[in-house]
Amino acid sequence: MLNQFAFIGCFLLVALTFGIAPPALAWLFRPKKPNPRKSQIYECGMQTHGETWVQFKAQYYTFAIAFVLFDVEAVFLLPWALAYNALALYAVIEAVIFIAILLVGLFYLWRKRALEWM
Amino acid sequence: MSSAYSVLTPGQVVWALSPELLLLVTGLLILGLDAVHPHKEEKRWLPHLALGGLAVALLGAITLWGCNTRVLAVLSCDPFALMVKIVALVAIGLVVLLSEVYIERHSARHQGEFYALLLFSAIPICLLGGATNLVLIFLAFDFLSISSYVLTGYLRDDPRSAEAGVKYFLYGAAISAVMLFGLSWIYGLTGSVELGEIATVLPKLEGNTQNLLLPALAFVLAGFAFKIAAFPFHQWAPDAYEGAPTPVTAFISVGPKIGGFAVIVRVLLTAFSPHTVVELAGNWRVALMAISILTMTFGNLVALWQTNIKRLLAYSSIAHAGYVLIGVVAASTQGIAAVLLYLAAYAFTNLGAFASVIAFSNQTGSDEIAAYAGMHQRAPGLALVLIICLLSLIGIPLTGGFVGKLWLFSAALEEGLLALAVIGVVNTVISVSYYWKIMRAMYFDPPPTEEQVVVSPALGVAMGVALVGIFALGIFPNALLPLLDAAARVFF
Repeated sequence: MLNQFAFIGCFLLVALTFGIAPPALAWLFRPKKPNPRKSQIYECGMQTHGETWVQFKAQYYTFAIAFVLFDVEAVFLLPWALAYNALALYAVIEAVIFIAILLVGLFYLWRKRALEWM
Repeated sequence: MSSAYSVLTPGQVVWALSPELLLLVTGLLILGLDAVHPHKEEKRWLPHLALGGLAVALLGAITLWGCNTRVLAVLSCDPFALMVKIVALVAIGLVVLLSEVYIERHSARHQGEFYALLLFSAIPICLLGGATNLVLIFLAFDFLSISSYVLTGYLRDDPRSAEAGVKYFLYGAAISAVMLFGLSWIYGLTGSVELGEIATVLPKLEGNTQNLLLPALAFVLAGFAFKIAAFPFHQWAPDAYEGAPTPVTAFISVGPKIGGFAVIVRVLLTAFSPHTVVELAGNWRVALMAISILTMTFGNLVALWQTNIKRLLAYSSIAHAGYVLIGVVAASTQGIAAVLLYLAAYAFTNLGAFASVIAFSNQTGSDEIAAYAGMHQRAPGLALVLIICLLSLIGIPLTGGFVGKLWLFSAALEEGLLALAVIGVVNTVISVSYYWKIMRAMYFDPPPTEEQVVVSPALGVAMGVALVGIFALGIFPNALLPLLDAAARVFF
């Protein structure tokens, strides 16, 4: 048991060295001559125009959450649909109840005007 | 767990799950009906519908009494589970009564969500009463947590409520991950998520592997301790209690505690029972004893300095979790019966106390103890109810709190845990001084105004039910003894 953990310990050490060594060596040996052009961001996205502290509309998140909800529903329903022919009536009713609960949620969102962009 | 693995017909499964299913249907009905009339401000019928759902679910739980079987292989329908459900449903019914005026006043537009969430949070508490599967336990725990977070941050325009919700959420999410990690260890070591199977596998494990179970159990206990707000995992409680809307404070001081204790008792006494794994059980008993002592001492000592009544009741509820843990440490039939009785008495008492706090703040808008000065002149009935609840929290004879403490301490003595019982009694004496602070303000300090405090009918009913509960448990506890005994015998 302990031997196996020692193996994991060695592995961890090797992994860490492997990750840390190249940047450390590069930092040691590379020439250090910065100039403004070199300090620019390179392939790290666009340079920002104007204020960086932009505020996003929080309403976006209600859409995102509703989307995730139905996304997960699809994930659950896929295996159910694939095994549909082999399933008992019981499983079909369960899935219908599951969809019905989510539909109540959608109905609620709609009636509470969470789906309107304000 | 002597019950046979009999296969139930779908009808029987639905019947066995009727409390949870009825709560779900009522919750969805409330959401749907609320959505049909989104702009009507007058929504008196919402709490009544919620109460109706809870009453029918309670009826379902009561008709199931006597059943002792497995449902869908992950739930146990036994007297212990049903007892937990009955206590939880009554408690949440009281919370609905407490909410009516408060929620209408503070957030009239979103009442449907509030009552639906309250009903949805009753479902996991009911499930936790009977869950015998680690996966279901984790899911129900998180279900309960998430609805509690949302309820805590329910007044979203109030920064204090939002802050309380976020604090509760961050703390709970971290602890939830820790608990899941511990559960995964237990699964990895025993190869099962079923409590009964874990119990049969554990004694056969080698000594080395059994030692690995200790950290796993520590992680899992951390998750449980968070739910009941026990000592090192209590930091969220005072802030969450103070910032949350007061009816929600009442709910999170009772609801999650009932669910948490149900799981603690079932997991520890089924999978890690002192009868099967002696050494391991010895370890968790010592750990829980330490947590119990620290929890009650810390809760009571810090409560001494509080000037806000919600914060004071928060620390007092931490202390009460410490008392209840005594019964779990005793790990005997008496101990578990005492845990159930204490939880029931505590639910009535604390909700009664919160009913008076809400009635008072509905009128005055203040939760400071100083504002309670001369309350017996402004509202003699209200002051009397609060006094009776505080006396029950202290544990004065004739109240449910007294019988609960008596049973807990005698269960500890029966198991030879003299020190634990003595520390419990000392703590009870300490607690008198901060409860006395409220009583002194109400009866001996001069009132700032002569204005009378008016109590709404719903709050009046809640106080009435709480008082009946407190005195029924305090004067006729022996009538309940056979029921509690049956519930406790599930594990022995």
